[in-house]
Amino acid sequence: MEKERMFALNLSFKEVMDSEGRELGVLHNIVIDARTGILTELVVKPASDLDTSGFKKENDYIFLPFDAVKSVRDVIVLDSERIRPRA
Amino acid sequence: MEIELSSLYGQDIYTDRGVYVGKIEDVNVDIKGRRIAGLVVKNINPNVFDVGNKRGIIIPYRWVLAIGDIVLIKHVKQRSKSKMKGEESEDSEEEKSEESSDKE
Repeated sequence: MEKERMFALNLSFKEVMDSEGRELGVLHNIVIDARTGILTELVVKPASDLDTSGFKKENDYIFLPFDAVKSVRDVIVLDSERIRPRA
Repeated sequence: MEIELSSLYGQDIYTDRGVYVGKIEDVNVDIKGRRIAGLVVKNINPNVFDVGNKRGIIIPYRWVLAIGDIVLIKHVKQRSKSKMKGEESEDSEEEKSEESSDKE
């Protein structure tokens, strides 16, 4: 069974991949809505061979929607359908 | 207001009556629910929570009122061992009376 609750410190520096096995990068931070506590985005340090054009970017980091997260275990897996950069 | 999760680490928590609670050490997140479940708090003010030998507590995020330069939570009455036994001030008296009745 997948653990539903995790400590955020254990999440940082986890590898982030999409559901096609493409390496996206390493988790750097998570953006939250402070009022509601809802997790909105993953801040990811992109892998060196990732084409970051089309991703929301800020200071060398890419922002990915948290609702694309499919599972979190040894790595974080995102649904590639939901993070496909706009063509 | 959107903030980065890591900016919470090390922030001081106070209740809305100005009482110091502790310092945020980590954040407990609910992955499926896509929300923060609780704040892991260390350096607990012993007058607010009786943590015994434990190093910290997790405060449910629904207690959080505001996050800014500090974190404000709802003022809570101590929910600890002494509360379960009864009112703090009466604790010692109750224990004494129980002891004496045992002897009889």
